[in-house]
Amino acid sequence: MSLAATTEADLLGPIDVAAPPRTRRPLVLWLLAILVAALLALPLVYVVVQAAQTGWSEIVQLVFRRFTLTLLWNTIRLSAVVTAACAVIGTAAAWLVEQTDLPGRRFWAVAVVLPVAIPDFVIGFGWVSVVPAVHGFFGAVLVMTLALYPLIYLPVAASFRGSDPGQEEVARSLGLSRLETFRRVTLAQARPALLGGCVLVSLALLAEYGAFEILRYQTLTTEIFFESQRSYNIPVASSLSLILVVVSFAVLGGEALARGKGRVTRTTRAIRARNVHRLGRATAAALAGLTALVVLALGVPIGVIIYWLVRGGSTTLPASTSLVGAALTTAGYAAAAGGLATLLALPVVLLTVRHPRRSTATLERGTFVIQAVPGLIIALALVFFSIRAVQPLYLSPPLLIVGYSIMFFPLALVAVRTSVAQAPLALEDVARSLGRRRVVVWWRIVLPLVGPGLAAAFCLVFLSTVTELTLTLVMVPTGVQTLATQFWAYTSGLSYAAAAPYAGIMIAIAVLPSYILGRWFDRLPSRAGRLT
Amino acid sequence: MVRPAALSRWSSHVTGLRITDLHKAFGSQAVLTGVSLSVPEGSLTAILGPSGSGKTTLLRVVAGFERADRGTVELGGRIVEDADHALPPEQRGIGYVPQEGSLFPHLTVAANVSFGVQRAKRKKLGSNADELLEMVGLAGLGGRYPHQLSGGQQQRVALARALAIRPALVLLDEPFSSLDAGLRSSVRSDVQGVLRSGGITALLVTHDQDEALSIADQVAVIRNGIIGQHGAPQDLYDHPVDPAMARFLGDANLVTATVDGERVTTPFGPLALRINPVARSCSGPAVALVRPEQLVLSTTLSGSGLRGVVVRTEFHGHDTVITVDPRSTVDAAPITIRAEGDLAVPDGCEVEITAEGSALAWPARAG
Repeated sequence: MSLAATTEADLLGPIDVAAPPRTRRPLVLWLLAILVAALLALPLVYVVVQAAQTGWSEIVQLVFRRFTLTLLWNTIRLSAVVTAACAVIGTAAAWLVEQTDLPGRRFWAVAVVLPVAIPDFVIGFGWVSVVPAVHGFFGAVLVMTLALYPLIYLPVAASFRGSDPGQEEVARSLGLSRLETFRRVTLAQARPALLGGCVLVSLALLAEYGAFEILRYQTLTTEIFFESQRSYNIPVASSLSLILVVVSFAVLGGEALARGKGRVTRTTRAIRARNVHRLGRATAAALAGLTALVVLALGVPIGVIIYWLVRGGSTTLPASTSLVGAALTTAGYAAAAGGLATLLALPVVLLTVRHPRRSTATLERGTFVIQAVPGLIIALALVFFSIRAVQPLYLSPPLLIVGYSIMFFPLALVAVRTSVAQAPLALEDVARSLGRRRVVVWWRIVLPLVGPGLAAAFCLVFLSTVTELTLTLVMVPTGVQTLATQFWAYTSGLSYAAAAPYAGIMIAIAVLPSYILGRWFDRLPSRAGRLT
Repeated sequence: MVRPAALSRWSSHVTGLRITDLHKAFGSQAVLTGVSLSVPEGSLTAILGPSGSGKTTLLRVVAGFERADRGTVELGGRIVEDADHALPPEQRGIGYVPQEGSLFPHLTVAANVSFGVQRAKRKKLGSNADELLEMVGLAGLGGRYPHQLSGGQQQRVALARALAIRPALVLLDEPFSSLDAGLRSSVRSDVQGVLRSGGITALLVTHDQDEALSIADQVAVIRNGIIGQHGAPQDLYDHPVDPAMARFLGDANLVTATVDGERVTTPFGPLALRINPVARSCSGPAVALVRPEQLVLSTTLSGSGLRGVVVRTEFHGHDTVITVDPRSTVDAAPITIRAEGDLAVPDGCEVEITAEGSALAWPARAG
């Protein structure tokens, strides 16, 4: 799971096309951007190559096995139910926090989002280790809903915050009831954000491995993991991969269809106070609901970790040296991945934002497609190519870091794009006309404006990497332990007490970047408003 | 608000801009197709053109942000752009004031203003930021950030920032279009005051003919990628090169007329023919220009003018604009009349229009 609060809708939002065209052809940028796109295309190339090697008839046979159809059904019904549940919970929470007179909204705004910093498999572990009855379909629905609803909450809340309060008033004055107004105006305005959030939830479900393994629920991804890592049945793994990728792309395509051609904009620039709906007698019920949500999603996993830490005592707890070692390794990988992903995003963003053309926009959309490719497939692809083409990279730290960077590229792309938009070319033109050389202009104008966004991109990828499990399990160098792999090793052996400190450190490392990011995203709309 | 005493220090001595046969195309789309223009030293020249006419592109080529395909740009006797080489923008010494001000959002107002002045020079010249801010009427606001200023204040900071490098030329790209109407005229006259009393050579781009005519010493109208006409505002208004130019430069009544020697016979009666130095003389069937303020409305129908029916009256306070549908078989286009103060003529009223002054005429197009 990741902090992808911003969706494709934001990414491909309006860019300044009013600027006069520029003649200089950005050849170097084009070259770099195409290299990045090629790197990102590797996983899909792998899926096609594998399928071709397996052979069409064999794939057809494997796909239409009863077992495959069961896996597909498991995956799809879980995705549908969890996405629907997250949509309801996330939207309701966002509406309560952003549009009502709920007491303590500042507290709730933080508490409701925090589960995003806890890896899904830790939430799963939290439940399973105290309530063994949580497993199978209903266990998976419960755990994944609690883990993923913030992916809906974040974009929808942001959309409520940015919506024009005047539109609701107009709707009421045109004779719509409260409920109709909510459905036809409030919700309609949040629709792209809601759809974007649903895509994130569905894709996260399709890609999830750890939580389902703990909950003993079989999906396409868990089976691909088993076939490729345990029983080494490559034909089965590759035909299932093909299905998984097709389903993921169907989700992405479905969103594009559902979004339609309508645009949600506010026509006025005037800054008005937000809508405040009075909850009245429903206040108690709203508070009870949010409390329950936060207790289940945040209280249970954190409480369980503390419980195991306390109960475990010194005998079963792992040596502190191995803890520190794993923490340092993890932080090192995460920092490298954050830096690399940000660097990879830069040429693509500079090209699309500064040279807005159909060709550059297409390239950007192309790179964004990687978000539909599950981490497991990315890992298998990189291992596949490294064995065949660059043997020394096989199971090496650099390859793992490349894997993380490819996987979390969309996050970096979104954050870098927002930040580059903060430094329009007009500023650079002015600075140069004032007699400053290009280097000075970059140092004094571009960097200070773009810097915070680059830092945000780094943080997003950093925290996602710290809590990443699936790709890490496949690609981690032999003999190296990260927080996630150690946690996994202990929970698989049912040594819950030994696993708990790793989860604790993972969450602790992830919380700081989450906090910084929260502040940054919070400031963003107001800052952008000031600049225009 | 503007203190002229402080200004002379900020103008540099070598000025004057000459543009010769400038061409620029974006892909297959030609934007400038041979622009030639010279801006006299110390003058404020406005480039007037509809949106998409290439005026911003012209400004960007002069500033050095874009390369010209052909032609030269000469600044203070030095060629800064021709077919073979182009001086980068940072070496041209041209101040640039963009449409939205484009202040650096992360720097204070004072840091914005002194951005272009190197630290060593800053020391030698003393604290020039304060002085410049005072000059544009923003003394004491140096510690603020751009977002804490109003739109008009931001525009003035942008001007101070451009002047801080003692530019040989200041370029202003629609600098007032983002301001609302009330603020626009006051900022406009302040900026004009600063530029004029500093003797600063300036080139201003605008699509607003009112603005161009009221603020500039010289106006150059750009259309179809070339300068259509260039001259002093009054000259342009009185002697447009053709009917289209006449209409572009202000409200115009273009009527069918006959020229006979030094007289023009118009539907409003006979008028003296104004000599047009920029168009060829004509005789016989013609199109005559009579500006709305030359026309007089009367409700007593004497038969010497053009009869019509009042269809619309717009009261503007200082004047009233009345639209009349002519009772004429030759010209069907409505006639616009501008009269000082309030003129109470109800819609539907039958009136007669006569004209004062002289009329400009062009040969009528055959067919």
